[in-house]
Amino acid sequence: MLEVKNIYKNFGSLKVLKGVTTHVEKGEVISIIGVSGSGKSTLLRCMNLLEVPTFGEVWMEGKLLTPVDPYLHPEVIEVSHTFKKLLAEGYSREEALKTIHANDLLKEKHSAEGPAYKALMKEIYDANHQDINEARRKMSMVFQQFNLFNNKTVLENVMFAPIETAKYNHVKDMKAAKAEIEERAYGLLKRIGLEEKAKAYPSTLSGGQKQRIAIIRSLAMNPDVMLFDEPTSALDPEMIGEVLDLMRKLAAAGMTMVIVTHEMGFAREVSDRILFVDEGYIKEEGTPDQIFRDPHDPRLRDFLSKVL
Amino acid sequence: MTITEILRSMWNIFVTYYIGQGLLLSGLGYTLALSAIAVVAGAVLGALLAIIKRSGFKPAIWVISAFVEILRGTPALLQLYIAYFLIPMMLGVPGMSPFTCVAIALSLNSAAYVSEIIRSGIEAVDKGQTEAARSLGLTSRTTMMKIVLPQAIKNILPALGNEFIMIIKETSLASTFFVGEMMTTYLTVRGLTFNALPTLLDIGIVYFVLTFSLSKLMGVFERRMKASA
Ligand SMILES: Nc1ncnc2c1ncn2[C@@H]1O[C@H](COP(=O)(O)OP(=O)(O)OP(=O)(O)O)[C@@H](O)[C@H]1O
Ligand SMILES: [Mg+2]
Repeated sequence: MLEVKNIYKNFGSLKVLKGVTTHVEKGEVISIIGVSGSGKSTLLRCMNLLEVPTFGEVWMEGKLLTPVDPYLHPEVIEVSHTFKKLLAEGYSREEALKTIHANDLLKEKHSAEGPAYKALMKEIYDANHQDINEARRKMSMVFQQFNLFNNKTVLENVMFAPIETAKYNHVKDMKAAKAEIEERAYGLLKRIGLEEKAKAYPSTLSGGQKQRIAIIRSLAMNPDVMLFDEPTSALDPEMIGEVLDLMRKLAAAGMTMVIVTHEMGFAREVSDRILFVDEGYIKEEGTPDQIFRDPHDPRLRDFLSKVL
Repeated sequence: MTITEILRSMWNIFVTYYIGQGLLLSGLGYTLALSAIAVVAGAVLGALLAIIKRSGFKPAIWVISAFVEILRGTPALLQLYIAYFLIPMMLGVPGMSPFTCVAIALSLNSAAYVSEIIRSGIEAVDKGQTEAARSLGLTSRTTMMKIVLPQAIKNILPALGNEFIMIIKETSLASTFFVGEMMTTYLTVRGLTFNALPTLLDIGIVYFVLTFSLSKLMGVFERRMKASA
């Protein structure tokens, strides 16, 4: 359902991701673990393009969310000037492709690769891309700092994105749509036992309440995937439980989830697959049992010995 | 001159000229008119500048930044002098009234400050608010209009109020061109009475009462705004 293909992310000269490839299947719960600063959040934020990858592509349900990365399309490279020049110099096809990859020879930004190259890039893009806003409505994100809208009540927070989406879609009967959205919002609030907070402003809530509301705000969009960036890291210890409980229920109900977390016990319990991110790569990937019982990568072993 | 004499002159001048000859009304009228024009035009223009600057179009950003820096980095009085000669020339209206020139110049000056007020008001809104909205698939426009600006306005309005007070004081510079605002009345009255100090003190009191009551009023307004979430 979600595919991350060979993504790189640089912040200026800092190389945070150095070629990450992974995929998320429907119904899967994936946890991303790793030391602080290893790029877990960056990887998660690249999935919904809050950070635009420097290279590489993100695909969701067969639709391309990022610009086209020529390095992922040999047929594009083969029409480039650089490739033709290498062939003329006597390189074989394979050697030429390898050289171009290894030395980052494509200058697609400098539009020096010729019209055929540009046309093919555009063709691939037009055939596959999806508007990022549309894609994001199907993969909502939950943040460490909750980020509830301060200028809106709890109920308005939950209803806001669905209502605006209905407007974008030119829904004819807005009144009926709003009534439906409101009913659904109340239903969600009821599910987490916070109906009586519907008219309250976020500033009056506890951290645990804020985060659970942030989660149902995401749920209100009927997402296909939910992305969580350390949802319990900013909470007082006594409130962590209520948020993890809600996430457990979502996982049990079959929600597709990608969770960056430092809660190892929780990751082990709910995950189908765990990714260990380190030094810009996915260093190890496996089921919770594989990762916790039989870690291979020395850095993962070291990490686990410190956090367990 | 003793204190009592000064106080007595202050009273006499105030009653005879400011009330009797209507200088208080006309002076205040011009001062408030100039300030209102400058603050409203400045706010509209300043908002426009801030919006264009956020659009990310590089050449426009450079031009606007230069405009803002120059207007903030040179004395307002100098700007008024330059405007006095330059604006009629540029607009091709040779006989333009000093009032119009001054109003335009003060508006431009205030636009420079207001655009910075708006920019910093927007930037003071937590980035997480924008990220949350965008991650729910809302457009940048919806995010700006319905999430960021309503929160930024709470930072912007009080600063705009302060800017209004600054401008009220700055309009006194317009007396250089005999525009008729409060400070100009000093020149008028001094010419008639040859008694500078009491006149200046009278005017000082008028300015102070004006700005002080405005800032108190704004304080009330601000507290109301804070109370409403
Ligand atoms: N917008 C940014 N600009 C510059 N550098 C950034 C930016 N975002 C992240 N970084 C840097 O990228 C690196 C990885 O950051 P990231 O937030 O992805 O780490 P993380 O694994 O999520 O860490 P943590 O566990 O502390 O949340 C860090 O060195 C961070 O300082
Ligand atoms: Mg992080």
